[in-house]
Order: sequence, then structure tokens, then C-alpha cells
Amino acid sequence: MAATVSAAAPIGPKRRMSRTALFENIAGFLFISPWIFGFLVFEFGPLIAAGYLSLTKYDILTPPRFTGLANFDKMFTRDPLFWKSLWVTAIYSLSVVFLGVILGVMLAVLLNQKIRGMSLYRTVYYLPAVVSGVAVAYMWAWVFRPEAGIINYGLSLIGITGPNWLFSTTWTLPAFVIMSLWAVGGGMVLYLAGLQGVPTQLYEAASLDGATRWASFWNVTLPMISPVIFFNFIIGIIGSFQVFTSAFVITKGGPANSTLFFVLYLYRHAFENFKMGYAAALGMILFLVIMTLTIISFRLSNRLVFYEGRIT
Amino acid sequence: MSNKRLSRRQFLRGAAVVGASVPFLQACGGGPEAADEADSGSEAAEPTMEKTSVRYAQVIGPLDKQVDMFNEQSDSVHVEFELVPWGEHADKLLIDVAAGTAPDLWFIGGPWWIQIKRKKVALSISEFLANDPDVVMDDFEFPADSDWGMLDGEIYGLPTNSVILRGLAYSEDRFAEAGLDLPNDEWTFADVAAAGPQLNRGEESYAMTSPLLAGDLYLTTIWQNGGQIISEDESKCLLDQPEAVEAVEQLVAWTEFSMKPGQHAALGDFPTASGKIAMWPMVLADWDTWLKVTANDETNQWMTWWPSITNPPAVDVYAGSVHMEAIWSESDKVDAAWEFFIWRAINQDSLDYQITLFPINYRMDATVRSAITNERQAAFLTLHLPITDLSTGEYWGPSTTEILNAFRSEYELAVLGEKTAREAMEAATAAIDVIIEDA
Repeated sequence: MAATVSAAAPIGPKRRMSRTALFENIAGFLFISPWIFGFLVFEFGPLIAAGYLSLTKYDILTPPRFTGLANFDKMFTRDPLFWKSLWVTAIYSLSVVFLGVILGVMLAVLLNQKIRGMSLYRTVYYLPAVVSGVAVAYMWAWVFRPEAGIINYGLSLIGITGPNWLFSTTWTLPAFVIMSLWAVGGGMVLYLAGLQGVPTQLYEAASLDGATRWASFWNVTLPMISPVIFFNFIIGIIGSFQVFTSAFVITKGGPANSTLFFVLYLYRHAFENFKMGYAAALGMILFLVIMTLTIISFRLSNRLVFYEGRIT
Repeated sequence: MSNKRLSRRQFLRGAAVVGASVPFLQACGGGPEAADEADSGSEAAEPTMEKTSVRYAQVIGPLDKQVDMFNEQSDSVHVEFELVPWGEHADKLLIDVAAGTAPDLWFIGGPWWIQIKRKKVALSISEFLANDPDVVMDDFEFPADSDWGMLDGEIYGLPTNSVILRGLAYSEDRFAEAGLDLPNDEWTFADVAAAGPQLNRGEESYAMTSPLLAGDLYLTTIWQNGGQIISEDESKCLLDQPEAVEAVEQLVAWTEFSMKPGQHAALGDFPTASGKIAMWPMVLADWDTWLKVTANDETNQWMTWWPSITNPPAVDVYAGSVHMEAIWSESDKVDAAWEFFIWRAINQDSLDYQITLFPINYRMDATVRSAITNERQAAFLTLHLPITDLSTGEYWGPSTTEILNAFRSEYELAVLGEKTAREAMEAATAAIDVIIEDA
């Protein structure tokens, strides 16, 4: 009965927005208008243009020629380097994201202790995250030198002959993973903020229940910082799939394409081979890959991530 | 002055309007040039008022002095020098051309030239050359009317400098130490292979730098052995043919007595300056670089031509890289651009200055004799002249860098011992055939 009444109830007169609300809305839109302008001109516009260019043959110097899905056909059926670059990037991304999360959390837990000089330690660990990518790449090129590099020198002290890190199809990718973990401090700061937001009464309750330190970490700390871990995971996937600078500076994709990351391959087509249409098609694939991984992660997050606000 | 305070709402409104206006005001502001023009006084603007101003993009920094010399001499043209980093110059030029804002004159590295030329981005200069009474075509070291500069019977550019030919540099001390005769222009790969093991003394000194060489040396070796990268009609890769495979096998064999890739870095920025390396490839006649890599020519080193697989080689040819200068086909100041273009290429003052930097492409021998007083430097600068006529521009095919990358990645696998030279070249051929098909 109530439902019937509700359904039959006349719709009331449209509420007019007050002058105050109207002005505040306009002010709000004006405030965000620089961002909207930037997004439309520098992101959405190029995205649409790239979508169109991916369906063309375009060498920059002559007008694009529409070729339909030819670029994608070549990519999937006749271009082994497309699959190679995707594979190299996927392996790198998987290693960097998982190791980055584990190391970042471990580091944050260590730096969450109450000891003297902690601010200094935190700064030191965060510092690599703000150093220029090119400078970092050059530094690591020295670190990985086969004879006089610090890593192989360290290994030689314990009787191990280190590999030729940057000229071995086996060791180059692990070298790049190690290099990326150096900047784990960026994520660590967020984990640290997450750790400091965990209510102490939860630990007290766990302690009263007889939980060990490990049990507290596993059942209290991790679930409470899981949104931060999830955030870093997503950002990590997006970032690691776009890795470019270090490979461009140090190996140029070699040896034998063992560090041919996807964006480096895209760059080669766009700016070395002048195949802008094909490069745009590679860009669209990268967009789809990252979007798909992000959607899958969000779906999984319902089961793996604990949001305090959802407790009813 | 009013003491009235702004309400929160008034403040928000005002701030939002200001915030939103900034990007639009910036966009309408005319960019840094407008500000520069407004800032510059009438004195600074004077040359451009009286002379036609043309833009010249170049990667060789010291050539700005050459531009200054021209600007002092010319009554009608003022050249604005734009220094572009080597690593970005081709990308930048392409984007500038696409945007319609390219410089009137520009430098382009050899590897990009043929693709640029085919797109007719450069102006045909055949008529200018024919009508200029000062130009003597036979005086160009690398012929202006060679295939390299021409397309469909028209000349589109002139080399920046003399053809870049790589030779074999060597340490006289290391050879004396090993009791070996010095390399000479009759050396073959067999001589290098015989000397290599005797020159290799572990970490004390090395027989040779890495067998990972420059593109022109791969090409020279393959061509001299009678091989080809692609067929004449550019329809098929020929790297899997026996002549090419044999040439690659010979280069890969040097791995046995070469430094490990990356090992040279332990010897500093200029490893050859340490005197610890017995042989290495280097550009012939590039005196400026020579001084850097030999500690100011004080380490008892010298150069000869790159050895061939057999003497005489199956084909007497050297792959040379030729950097080019051209005038933009869409320039609206073509006559002014030409005035500087040809002055840079053939004027004696210009040549006298250039010869202090690198080998030139016009009246090289005569200019060296008249402008260079250091005998050793003069001898070095002319090392390449006897083989200049044998040189052909480095060209890997219709998508040069892509084909070179495909070759190099497989060659690296052969050097690393993960494939035989034959397997590597067969894989390279398959990859390059796909590239050719799409070109």
C-alpha cells in the first residue's frame, strides 16, 4: 500500500538553486577549469588523436593515410618484437610491483619504530625517489660495471665472480629490477602514513587476545594498510608498464632486445623509424593493457582490501 | 584606502576568476619571443631590421663562430644559430617540419638523410649550384651530385663535412711490446686475428675494444666480402647469403681477444687514452676527437684504414656516414638561406675555420696545406683522402635504423655465443623481410 502511495505521489515543483549555491558552483567550476582545460587539450585530445592515428600509416612528414586495422594486424601476426617487448615489460612489471610492495612495507615497518634520528633515516630512504631518472640511470650503469662496479666488487669479496650485468641476456632484466627497487622509498612514505593511521587499540585488543607480533602484523597491520598497498599496487603497475628512461639511457633495449620495454619500442617506432601510426597503435594497446590490469585489480580488491568505512 | 574585508564567497569568486584566467592569458601572450622582443632594445633588433634573417639549426656547437664570421661579412643576411643536441635533432626537425616551423637551413645526421630526402622536405639546390659562378663541382671531396645527395636527378643537400670513414687506430707501444709490426693499409682480418692473441695481456692491456662495432663497419665488412644487406630492388634481405654470413663470422671471431662489452668503462671516459688498448675503431681524420681519445696525442698512437677480409677485397668499397646540410623546401627566404648555405660550404674563410674542427668536404687537401701548420695534424687530417672515392653512404635499406636494429640484436646474440653467425643472420633476414614488406 505504501508503495502504491509512493508511486502515485505527484512529483513536487522543481527546486530552484539558490543564488548562493549557484555562485558557489560556478566558483567551483572556475577553480577546476585549468585542470579541465589541461585534461581536454593535453590528455583527452591526444588520446582521441592517437586512436585515429593508430588506424593510419603516418610518417609525420606526409599526411596520415587510413589503413584500417592493418597496424594491429601486423602487431599480432607478424611482429615478434611486439610480443617480445610485451613479455619483457610484463616480467619486469610483475617483479618490480610485487618486490616493491614487499620491500616498501618492510622498510616502512622498520622506519615506524621510535628510535633517535628516525627523520633522518626516513629522508635518506625517500631521497632516491626524487632524484632525476637520467642521473639514476648513469649511476647504476657504474654500479653494474662488470670489472670495477660496486656490486661485482662486493661479490668478489665473498668469492663470487659477478656477471656482466648489462651485457647478458640473462642478467640485464634482473639488473633493471634491482635498479627500480632503489626508489622503493616513494611507496614507503605512503605505507608509513598508513601504519601511523592504524588505531593502537586494535593492537591492544590483539595483545589481550594473546596474539604474537607476527599475528598482529598479519591480522591487524596488513588489513588496515591494505588500501594503501592496493593504491601503490595500481600506481606500480601503471608506472612499471611505462618504464623507459633507464633502458633508453643505459642499454637502448639491448643486448639482443632483452631490455626492449614496451614504451622504448613505441618510442623507436615513433621517433627513429618515423612510423607514428604504428607507434600510436602500440600506445592504444598499452592503454588497454593497463586499463585491463587496473579493472582486474579493482575487482580483486573487493576480496583482498579492507576498507574501514565499509563496516556496518 | 578601504578597510572593508572580503567575505569568504567574494574571495572564492575572485580567486577562481584569476586562477581560470592564467592559462588563457598565457596562451594569448605570444610566448617567450614576444617578451624577448619587448625586452630587447632597438640596438639588438637592428640587424634583423636591415638584413633578412634566417634560422640555422646545427648540432656542432663551435660552428656558431662560423655563423658570427658570416654575419660580419654579409650585408644582406643575418643567420640565427640554433644549437640542437645530436640525440634529438632529427626528432625535432621532423616535428618542426610537421608543424610548419622548421628552420630555413638545417643539419641532418647521415642515418636520417635518405628518408628525409625521399620525403622532399629539403629544397632542390641543383639550379643554385649550376648558376653559382664560385662553385667548382669537382672540388667537392664527396661528390655533391652523388646518389647520396640526389633524388630523381635533383641535388637536395651538401655534406656538412668530408665523408666519415672509420679506420683502425692502434697503440705503437702495445705493438712494440708484443714485438709485432704495426698495422698498415694492407692489413686483412687475418692479420688482426693473428696479432690479437699476442696483444691480449689480461687486465694489463687489451688487444681490442669490444667487437660490438658501429653500423658503418658492419656494412663495410659485409660489402667488401661481396655481401649485401638488401637486394638492389629493396624487396629482400640478403644477410643470410654466404658472403654476408662469412663476414659476420669473422667479426664475431674477434670476441676471443676483445675486451668484454662494458669492460672499457673501467678505463675512464676515454679508455683509449689510457694506452692500454692495442687496437680500436675510430673515425679517420677527426683530429678534435683524436686529441680527446689519445690524451692530447701524447700516447704514441696512430691510425690506418679499416682492414678488409681479403687483400684485395672482393669489392673495393667503404661505407661512409655523411652528415648533410639542406634548405627547408617550405622556407620563404630561400635566396637568403642559399647565400649562407654556399658560403658555409665553399668560402675559404669558412673552410679555414672548419678545418680546425673536422675534415671538410671542399678543397680539403689545399686547405689543410694552407691552414694547418702542425705536420702531424695535417697528416692525420688527410689520412682518409685516398679512399674517399671508394666510399658509399651508409644505407641499410628503406627503414635504415629499424633494419640496423634488427641486424644488431641478432649480431649481439652471435657475439654472446647464444647463436651461430649463420643462425643469427637467418633470424635477422626474417625480421628485416617483414620491415621491408611494410616500408
